[in-house]
Parts: sequence; structure tokens; C-alpha cells
Amino acid sequence: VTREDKQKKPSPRHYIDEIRTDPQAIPLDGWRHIHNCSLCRREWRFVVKLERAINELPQEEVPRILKQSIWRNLREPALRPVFAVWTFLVPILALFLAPLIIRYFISLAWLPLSPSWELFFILFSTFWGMVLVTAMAVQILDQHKSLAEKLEQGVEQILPGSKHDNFP
Amino acid sequence: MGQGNYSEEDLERLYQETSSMIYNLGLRLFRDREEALDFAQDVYVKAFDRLDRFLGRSKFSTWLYSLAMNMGLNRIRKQKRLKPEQGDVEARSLPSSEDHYERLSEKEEVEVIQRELAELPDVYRLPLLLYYYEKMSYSEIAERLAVKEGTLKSYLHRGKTILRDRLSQKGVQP
Repeated sequence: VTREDKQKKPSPRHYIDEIRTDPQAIPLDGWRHIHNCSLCRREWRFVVKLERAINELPQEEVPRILKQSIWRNLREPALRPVFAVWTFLVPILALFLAPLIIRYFISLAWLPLSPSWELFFILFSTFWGMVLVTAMAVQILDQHKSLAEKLEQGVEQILPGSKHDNFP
Repeated sequence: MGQGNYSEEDLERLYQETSSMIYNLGLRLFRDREEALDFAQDVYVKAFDRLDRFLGRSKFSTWLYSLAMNMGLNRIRKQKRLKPEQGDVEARSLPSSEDHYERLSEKEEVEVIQRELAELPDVYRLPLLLYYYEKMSYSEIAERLAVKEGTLKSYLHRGKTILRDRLSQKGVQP
């Protein structure tokens, strides 16, 4: 084989990029090549070492402070409102304004509605306003209820002979 | 609280069984003890608050790990830690002089790889962790990290290339 022949021979296709990117996509021929090619085999060995090192990442002991802070947080949750005030006020405003706005447009003749449709739209908007307000109210009551339960638990814990005496 | 029928003793037992798993997940994701502690606290407060949603179809630890992983990856996305940083990696690269290093033992090699992995920017480190440690598929990682699958593969490629270069300099030879 002359030097010219060697130069004409195409260089083998390596699979280094595939090994680094997506080894699962390497075809069977590719694996045969990797087995026989020192360059690709080294790359594959590196990936195997990397996988082993990642799987053997050291585990640290959990600091004691974590447990204390979790239980403190469970006993004394931050007294933050569930919703900002505006999220409660907007549906109430909508509840009162929607019928007025509909009435206004009807008076301008922009909405040529019959009296029965007019009544329907007013009732419809009022209904959804009430649904929104009710949903908000339920959420707020629920929040207050869980706060009250937590306060009750807190009181139990500081009373002598409480069942929570051994609790961290 | 949504702790349902769970007594405080139950919660403590659940904590004892799972705290190492969750804290170490935090360490792997954030590489910082303070942040891992803060993360683990958030996970437990949320989990205990949602205990009534745990239906017992899977093990508690599986449910908790899934919740923690979601919270961790959300936190990473919010912190915008998944942006490739230009120049950070190349700046550390030195001309390779492998002959100056003695061959390391297997255990030393693993330790060096783990150290170098911890030094990688998050954008390259997290996909490697999620793929090899968490055994997630590419499509799942891409979805969780909110990147395209092609981008994810390029991160994996780049991460391995950087590690390979750095490890060669440290005497880790495949």
C-alpha cells in the first residue's frame, strides 16, 4: 500500500461526540468500532468512570439544626395573608360595577338588548362575582382555621403534662 | 395544616427515615450547605402541609423525593442558574502536561472526578447529575430544566468535554 493509497483511504468514523452526547443512540456498528478503536474506547472508559463517580457521590450527615428549624416552622408559621388585599377587593368591586357597566352600555344603545337579556347579563355577572367572593372567603376562613389549630397545638406543648413533652 | 391522621410521632418517624435523602439531594443540587438546609426545610414544611394529598399509592419516600425534586428544579429555574457562562471554563484550562502527574489509584480518581464535577458550572453539572444519578431520560431532564432536548445534549457534551480536559491535567486517564 503506497502513501498515496493511504491518503485516499477515508479516516475511520469516530464516536466520541455520540459517547459524550447520547450513547444510547450509537448503532451496533458504532459499538463494534468503539470496541476496536483505542481513541473511542478511552472516551467510553472515561464516561464509565464519570458515571461511577457520580453514583458514588458522598453522603453527608444531616445537621441537627434542620429538624429544629422544621418543627419550629410547623409550630410557628409566619402569619402571612394568603391573598393580598386587592385580590379580595377586585371581585367585590366587579360584583357591584358589572351590572352598572352593562346598564350604562345599554343606555348608550351600544348593547341593543331586550329587557330579559339585560336582566340575564346582570344576574350572570352578579352570580360570577358572588362565586369569586365566596371562593376567597372560604380560603381565608380555612387559613384562619389552620392557624387556630396550630395555636392550639402550641398551647398544648407549653402546658405541664402535655403529650408533646418529648417533641423536639 | 393538612397533616390528616398523622401524629407528631409519625411525622418524626417520616423525617428520620428520609431526612438524609432530602438533605443530600439539596447538597447535590445546590452545592451549598446553607442552601441545602433551607431547601430541605421548605420541602418538609410543604410535604407535612400536604400530607392529606399523599394517598399511599407509593412509598412516602418516593412521593417526598418527587416533591423535593420538583421544588429543587423550580428553585434552580427561578435562580436562573442554567445559563452557559462564557469564559468561566476556558479560563481555568492549562496546557496539558499529563506526564508530570503520577497515575492515581481508582479511589483517588473517583474523588478527583467528584471534586471536578462539583466545580463545573450548574448548566453542565446538573444535566450530568440528573442523567447519571437520578437516571432521568433526556426528554424528562429537558422538560424539568425548561430547555430543548438538543440544547440539553449540547450541555452534556460540553460538560463531559470540560471534565475530560480538566481530569487529563490531574492525571486521571481512562
